[in-house]
Amino acid sequence: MDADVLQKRLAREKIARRQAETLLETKSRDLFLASEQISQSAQMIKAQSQQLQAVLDHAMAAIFLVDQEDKIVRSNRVAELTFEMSKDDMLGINFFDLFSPESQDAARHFDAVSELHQEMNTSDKAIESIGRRKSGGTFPMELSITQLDMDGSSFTVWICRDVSMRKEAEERRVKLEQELSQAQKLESLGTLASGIAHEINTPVQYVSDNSHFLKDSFADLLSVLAAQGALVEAAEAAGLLGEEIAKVKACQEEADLDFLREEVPSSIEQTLDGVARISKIVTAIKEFAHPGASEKALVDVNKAIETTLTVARNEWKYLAEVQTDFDESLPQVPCLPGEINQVILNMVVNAAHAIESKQSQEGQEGVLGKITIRTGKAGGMAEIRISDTGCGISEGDRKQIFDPFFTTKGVGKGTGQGLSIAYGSITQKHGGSISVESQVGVGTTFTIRLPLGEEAALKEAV
Amino acid sequence: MKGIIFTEFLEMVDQKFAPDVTERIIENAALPSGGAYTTIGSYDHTELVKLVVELSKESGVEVPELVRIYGFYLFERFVRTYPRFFSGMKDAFTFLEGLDSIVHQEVRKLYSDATPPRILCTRAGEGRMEVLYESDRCFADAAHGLLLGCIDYFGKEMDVAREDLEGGAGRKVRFLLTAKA
Repeated sequence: MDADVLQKRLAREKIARRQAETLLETKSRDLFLASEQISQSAQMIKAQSQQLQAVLDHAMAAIFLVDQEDKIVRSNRVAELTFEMSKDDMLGINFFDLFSPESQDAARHFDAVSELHQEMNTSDKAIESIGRRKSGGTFPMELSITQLDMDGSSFTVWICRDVSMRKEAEERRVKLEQELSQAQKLESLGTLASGIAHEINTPVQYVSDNSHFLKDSFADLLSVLAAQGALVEAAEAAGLLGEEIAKVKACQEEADLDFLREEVPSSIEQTLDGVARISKIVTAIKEFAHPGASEKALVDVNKAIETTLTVARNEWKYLAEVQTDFDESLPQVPCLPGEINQVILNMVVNAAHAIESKQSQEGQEGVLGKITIRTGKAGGMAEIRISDTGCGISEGDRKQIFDPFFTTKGVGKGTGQGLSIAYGSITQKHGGSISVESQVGVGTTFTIRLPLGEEAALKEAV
Repeated sequence: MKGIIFTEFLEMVDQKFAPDVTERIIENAALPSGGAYTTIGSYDHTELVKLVVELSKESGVEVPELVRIYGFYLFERFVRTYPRFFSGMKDAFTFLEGLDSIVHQEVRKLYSDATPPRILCTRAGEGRMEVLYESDRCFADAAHGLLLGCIDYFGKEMDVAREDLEGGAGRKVRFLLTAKA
């Protein structure tokens, strides 16, 4: 190659080298800018990913991203807590393994239907299903689903809400509504009973008055009859008015005067006794019902117990004898009369049921048990002790007897509300206390303490 | 067009003709770049056309024939420069099938502004393949030469039938490769 050619080539090579260097610089700058951009993008993606994960983790539901093979590819913190699994345990497993076996087909069907209609927004449609935790426990859950495509692959987003609490709350609400409805019925019945009692009182009053009138009048008539008898005897002895005397004596015999003289007073007494009992029951019903009494009033607890025992007599009279031991010096207690009556009624009915249960267990139907109710003062409070000789309460059950809806009674006998309501009323509305001592097979004593009014407490202290 | 196409062309002229021929065609072509190329740069493809035309004048060989010869030469150079593209390739058909998806893909990775021609390969029965070339640069002759170089490299003799499409400007051409018995 001659020098001229070489010189030309050298010149071209120099130009080419400058081009290459310029190109290298440009590419290096481009590379740096691209690297910087990638770095910023990576940081942004990382931040967004963290934000997204934080949002997912703080969602109030378990969220899963599931691929076409039903494998879990992403989940949030709530999912781990709900199904009691770590993220490592969860990723890669079949999503439908998180369902109870009997719920898997329905969930797959929901998935298939959603996939079929993915052009429609199905995220607002939800079904209920049963989830299975790692421990094997199951729980009700609400499912919603969204189909999505990413990078040419189809995924499903499952949102699962554990609705155990909501279900329990709903059940509780339904029971409370039933209870409220029952309470409203009882209140209506109380109002009705109070009205009926008032109406009965008027005829009872004149039956009573007339019976007393008859009693007094018959006593007067007996005096007249005694005088008449003496007259008849005197006339007979004198041989006077023989025909008239015979007629009088015939009338006396026909009327069985001796029998009437003996029986009419006792009949009137029995009538008066019956009327007195009707009056007592009517008064008890009126006092027990206390319709509309929503404010505290001073109540004679001893009288309230007597009233309740009268009203509830049918509940215990075939099962137990009731013995009362009242502290007559117990001052009136400020309380809600209707609620205190209800609490005592619940206790007495529970005592009767406990005795019935024991009789049934021991095959001693018909053998009466004993319910003892004592009142007294203790530590500046009025104390009511209701004891029974029933079946007793086990130590385990004693911890739960004041819980709502807890009952050991058979279907139809108890709602598990009585002691719960009693506890709420005594402790929260009256500031008192309620406690229980029990021995299985021997009996139970409930002790209710109610604060006395300030004046009464002062007297008590003196 | 990538600079390597120009540098390899000038290299071929040096080898197959003479260095002073190379210098003359550069000078006569009056190129905007002055004939100073770097393999990684990009240049107007019409400069190559001018160089080939000048070479044709110098050598008396027709331009299409020169371009085919260059294509054949270029394939051999690619084999030496980029052996990894050829390792594991058992025959010409297999290599051609991977040309667009593997080789051109690699070119795009290195040079995002590169616009290699579109190559569509279709098996047309036992020992037959249809190769469709399409490029706005109209270098079907270069493609023809590359195909011949490819067949020569893999050693299986084949007939190459060419059909110019869309007016025969070399923008779109169908090649039918048939293996000889």
